[in-house]
Amino acid sequence: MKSYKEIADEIIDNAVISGAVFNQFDQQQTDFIVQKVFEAGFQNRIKLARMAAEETEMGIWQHKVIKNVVGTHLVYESIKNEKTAGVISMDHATGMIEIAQPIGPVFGIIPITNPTATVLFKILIALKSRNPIIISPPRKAPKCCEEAVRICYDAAIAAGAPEDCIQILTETNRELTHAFMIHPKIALILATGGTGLVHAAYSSGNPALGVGPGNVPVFIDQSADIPFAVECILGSKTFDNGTICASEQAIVCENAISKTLVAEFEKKGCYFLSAEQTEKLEKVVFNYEKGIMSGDVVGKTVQHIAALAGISVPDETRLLIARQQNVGKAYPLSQEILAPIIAFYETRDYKSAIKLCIDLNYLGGIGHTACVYSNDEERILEFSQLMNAGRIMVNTPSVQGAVGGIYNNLPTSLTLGCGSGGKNITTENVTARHLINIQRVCRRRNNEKWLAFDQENFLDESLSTSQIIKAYNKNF
Amino acid sequence: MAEYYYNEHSHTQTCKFNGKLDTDISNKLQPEIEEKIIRHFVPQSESRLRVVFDFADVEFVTSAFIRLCVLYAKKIGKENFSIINSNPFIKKIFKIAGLDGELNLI
Repeated sequence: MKSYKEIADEIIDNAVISGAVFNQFDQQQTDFIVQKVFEAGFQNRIKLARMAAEETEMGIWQHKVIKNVVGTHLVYESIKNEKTAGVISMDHATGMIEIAQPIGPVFGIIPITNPTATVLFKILIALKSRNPIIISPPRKAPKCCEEAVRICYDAAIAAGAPEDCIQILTETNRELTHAFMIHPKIALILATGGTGLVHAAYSSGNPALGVGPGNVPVFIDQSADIPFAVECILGSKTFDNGTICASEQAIVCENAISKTLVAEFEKKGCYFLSAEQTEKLEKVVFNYEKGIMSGDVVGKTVQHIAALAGISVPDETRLLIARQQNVGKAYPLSQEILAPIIAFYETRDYKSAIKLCIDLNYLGGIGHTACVYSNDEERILEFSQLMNAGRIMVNTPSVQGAVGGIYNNLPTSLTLGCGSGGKNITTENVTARHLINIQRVCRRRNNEKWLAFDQENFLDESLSTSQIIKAYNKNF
Repeated sequence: MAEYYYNEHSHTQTCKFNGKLDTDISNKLQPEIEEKIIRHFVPQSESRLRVVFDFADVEFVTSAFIRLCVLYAKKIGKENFSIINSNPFIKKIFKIAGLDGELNLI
């Protein structure tokens, strides 16, 4: 029986050769492969969505179809015109030529909450950048991921892609994943998952783009269009039963509008839990031992969760809303719960509301996403500056907004950078351009000021900084 | 696709390839190469067969052909196998694959 290292060596060696061969492809050949893989993934969006929903027992298959459409069609639209092979820019004025080089084997870790869409997305951006990719599926969703990989691989090979440009691990466990993450021939780990996984990726010694949890606060300002805001939040938070990490986790509003807001939510099929029901719910949504949400509720329906908690709710309930007073580790519903459950906070004024949003944002969701509904430009800007979030969604459903390409011009992505707060190198939506090395060819363009200046002046301690700068800029 | 020369004096089989060595061509070439090598290869013989792959006219290689190189380098012994005359682009492919040393790419 092969050791984990031997398994990793074999698969990664194949990927390295594949990457070397891929290096010979030009932009046109690359784009043709990407187009064919997109078409194959898109063509199978429904089959893969059904498989993912059945295998994970999470979410809603129709919504997973939309996720697969985002992961193929919108991702393709977003990257198809990008230059990612060979010379990508030439600027005669600056004398700079930029050349894109592939980085090498990418290790793509897939989350259980969005398995097939993330596989399709990561494959497309890897191929667009001429990199081989090794997919590590979640333990509870291997089959749908294997099928997604098979579909993409067959299409890629038929389009002329190098052998082994897409591979998938047929077994997954922590030790094997670790063997891949620390392997010296892995060029980049593209990790989407829980905090532990992302931390492991960053500790591996290899470059990593890891995206962990969010904890998205939604501030609804007095100036907001309340029916519009409620409709947006519902469409986002209930999408695929709340499995997306950019989904809203807590609503924050001032007392002045809370009654209207509550009435609007109730009108649209949301159920406000009593204190007693909230207490019951907390016990089932949170794993107190691990200090994170319980897997038993992730992506489940309201009715399933209510039954689990022993709560009776109307059959047509779309979202459970729990009034909360505090934020912190001791208050499970103030943390990320990927299910159709949301916390609700009322504050006495605007400043208290924003301060509460800061607390929520820093409770496990730093760098991820924040959301504001307002028609007051000053408040929108102030809120945005106070949040530590890579994406601030304004009057936009958080889920559909954060992935880009639907409500804004963010690059479409299923891996959302969280900046240094989330221990990421970028706050951007990760896409093909993050998987290339850019070489800069620098033609000589003299800095005339520097060349005209007498360098001896730098050695003269009697000259002040302002004297030197004045002399340096003389006649320019 | 390929020309073959055997030098009795130096006991060297040279395989000179040209064009694009894609998967189909690699599959077609394999029996030819095998036959040339087997003809002169005597396992554990003191007079070792040397195999040289001449890449002077090669424009493109696939994984399948790289695997052929690795296969024959292993079969006849790393020290007896070499790749010569590759253009810089092809050299880079083997460098990225980490096989330039193993395959004695000159």
